[in-house]
Amino acid sequence: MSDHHEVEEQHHEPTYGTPIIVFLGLVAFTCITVASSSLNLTRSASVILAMVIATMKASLVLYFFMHLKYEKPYFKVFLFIAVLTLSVVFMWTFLDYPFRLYN
Amino acid sequence: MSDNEGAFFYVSETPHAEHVDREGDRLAMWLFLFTEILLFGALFLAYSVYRTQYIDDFEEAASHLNTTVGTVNTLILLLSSLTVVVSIVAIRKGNKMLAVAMMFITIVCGAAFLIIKSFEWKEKFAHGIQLSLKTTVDAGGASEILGNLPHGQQVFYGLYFVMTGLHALHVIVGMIIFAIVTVLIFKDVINKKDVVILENTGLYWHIVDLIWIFLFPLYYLIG
Amino acid sequence: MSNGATSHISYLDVDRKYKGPLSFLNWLWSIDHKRIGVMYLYTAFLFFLVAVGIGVCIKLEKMYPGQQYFDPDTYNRLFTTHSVIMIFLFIIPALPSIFGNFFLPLMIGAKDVSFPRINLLSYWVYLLGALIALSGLFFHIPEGHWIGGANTGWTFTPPYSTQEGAAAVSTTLLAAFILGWGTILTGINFIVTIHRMRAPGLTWFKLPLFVWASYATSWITVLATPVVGITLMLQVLERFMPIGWFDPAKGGDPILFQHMFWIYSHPAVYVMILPAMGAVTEIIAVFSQRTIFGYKAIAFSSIGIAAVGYFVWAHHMFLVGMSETAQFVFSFFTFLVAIPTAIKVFNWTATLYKGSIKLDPPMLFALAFIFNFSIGGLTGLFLGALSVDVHLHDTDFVVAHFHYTMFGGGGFGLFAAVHYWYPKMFGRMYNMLLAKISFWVLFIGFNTLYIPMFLLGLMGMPRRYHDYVSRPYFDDLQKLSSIGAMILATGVILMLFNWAFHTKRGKKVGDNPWNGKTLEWQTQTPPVLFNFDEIPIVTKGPYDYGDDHEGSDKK
Repeated sequence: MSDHHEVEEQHHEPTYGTPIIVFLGLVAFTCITVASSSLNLTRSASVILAMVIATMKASLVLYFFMHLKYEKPYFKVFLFIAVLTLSVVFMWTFLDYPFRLYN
Repeated sequence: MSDNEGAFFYVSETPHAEHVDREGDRLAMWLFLFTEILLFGALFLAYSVYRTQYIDDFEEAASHLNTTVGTVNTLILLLSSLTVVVSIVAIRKGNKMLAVAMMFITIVCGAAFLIIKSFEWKEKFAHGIQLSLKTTVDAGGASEILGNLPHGQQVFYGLYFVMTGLHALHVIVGMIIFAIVTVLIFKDVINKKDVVILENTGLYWHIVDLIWIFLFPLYYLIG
Repeated sequence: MSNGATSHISYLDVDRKYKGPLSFLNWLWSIDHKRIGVMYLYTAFLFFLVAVGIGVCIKLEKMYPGQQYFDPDTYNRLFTTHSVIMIFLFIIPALPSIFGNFFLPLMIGAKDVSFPRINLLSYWVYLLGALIALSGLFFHIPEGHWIGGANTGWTFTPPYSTQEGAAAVSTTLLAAFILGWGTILTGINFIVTIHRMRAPGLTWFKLPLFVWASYATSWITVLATPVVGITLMLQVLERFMPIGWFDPAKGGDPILFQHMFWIYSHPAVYVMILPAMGAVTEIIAVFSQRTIFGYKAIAFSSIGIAAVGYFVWAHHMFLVGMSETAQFVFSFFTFLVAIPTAIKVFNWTATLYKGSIKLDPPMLFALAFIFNFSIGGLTGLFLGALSVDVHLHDTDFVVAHFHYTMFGGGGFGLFAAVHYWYPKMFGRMYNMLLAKISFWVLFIGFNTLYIPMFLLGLMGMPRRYHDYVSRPYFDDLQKLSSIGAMILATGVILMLFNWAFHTKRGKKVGDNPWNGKTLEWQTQTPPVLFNFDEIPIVTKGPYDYGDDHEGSDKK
């Protein structure tokens, strides 16, 4: 290996504090989502709430744990494209099922 | 071209001895993670389609899954994600031993997750809900019980076993890679200036965690 | 380093000291992107030849009404094997992998792809998948036959596919899964390479348009292949476990399989065609000696085709029992695909206008691509229209349509690319006259084969049928189509012979026989191990022919 390793750009100073705070946040979200499941919400409300919380947890993981915060913008654009593709697949599939006449 | 004299066949050199591109390495890992997202995404698609068709069966079957076990496993995976991040920070700060310790905790967390998962599966098997190979099914045996459940519950358990099983497979692969990474930290291949192997393994581990973040409410909470 | 004839040792000769019984490993172990590209070339065309042979068998069977050579079940296996080889082993991996591997790094002025070892791994994965796919032929052998295989068609549509020939179908599904990972690895490699390895000065809008096409293709493979991978695995599991995701008797929905299958397999159609379009773009510019008309329009239309491809998959499923809402939306978006495609065709024709056109073999194939692909694309609009599709669905019209796009488009584009880049790859030229003859034989054979199939489809000939009832016109069209198949096969053999024969015996060529302006022509022929003695610094566009017509991007 050569000395080109020095070229590695890392603009942020690594700290232990941020990951621990993020972790506590994730634990808190987990507690909230577990607690909310015993609230006797309606079907759709409980699904939406659970998915919203899961998405927030996922964003925390992506942004901080997976260092998306420190990557160049095009990494974020690419992730957006991937998630967008997946959501298109979901939305377009659900053009079919709820609208079937014989269901 | 002369440095593989004596070899039995020609081994081409790599032009990359001098080409180190860490951003490119991370980009490749992210692209690989996109394939993971879409791989599991397809399973989530199947889940959501069948959930809308068999909403009652799904809720009934989900209520038989143990929420406490699921919650504990969620926390274990979150903890292991934290230890990976801390390990990266420790390496970058030059604290090799802390990094190794964190790797160790990560692997232990993975093992704990798998052990808890296996007990959960075993409990389901004990109730006759299992995916045995067709060839080993004896008449009147365990999988008859699964076959007699309502259609929606059969589909639910089928998806449950495949999704958690595929996820567990990813956990096992992650643990193996982390074991290799620990050795590489010892050997200083992963060092203060070059953490990309650990970073990329971490990215993979986080995506495994991220998939669990969605699996958990869908199977254990919405019941 | 000098050995007289050329200034440097080419990538073909680097192993000249290692000629022994293990010399095939000089290739199989090479991480040089050029050698990997050439290996893909040989392997893919070997499979192509096999599948063409099977295709001729299919047409011979249909030459007359009644059974000729094969019983109905064997016929099913024949068309399944034909499609599996053509799609999974030939057209999907061939176009991106042969020329993407060989020329993408050359075109962007790089020494290699970003991850040469992973690149070799994708070839091995491809080889492994191919072997598993072929091994499927030795399962599910019916009484009195020596060879078996899946008989489900390449779409593996349940419930039929989960009921018959478990071992053969599962093996083929596993092979498709493995082959998928081969293309994913190649796709990741190309995206990173294009982002990170461009020569200094080579900005995004100075990239050759083949690179743009490869970039769009790679994104499709990364974002679509995993979906079909897991779907195929679900079907394999379903056979061996008491679960029925796609089995209505157990609560599953067979239509969901079709959704998940086509979510990949429709974008995969653009994996087959986009690199061919890219190659044709290069050829049109070089053989008209003109700056390409509407560079940005062509570049963005590649991305556009890739994007729209995700919105249209269910147009393969209009008659399976989807909701009418879905049918309407999918039909609408299908029409939108025509826009970026037409943009390309118009830009190619505009480039030809007032160009100094040379009708060398690559250009002939490229022009045939435009001709065939226009027919294929426009008949696609028939099939995308809901009411017309009810009549045409699952008829020979569909078969003719996708052969016009996949073979007349993708295949002819690939042939054009081989004729165009052959001298750069091997340092020698094929026989020009034979190339032109084989082109005309191919072109006439191709159209004789498939135009009658459009008519047969309109008259109601279902696809995948072993037999048909004798009727006036019907028999003649079938016979004409079969004769076309034989002409086409003759053309294929002539063309492949021309290539194979001249790799070592052809006339030597200079570095830039076609006067191309892209980077791959600016280095030695055949290229040296790391492509360039010095990494070039790019200051000019890829089609800098000194003209400055309206619409070019350099004003």
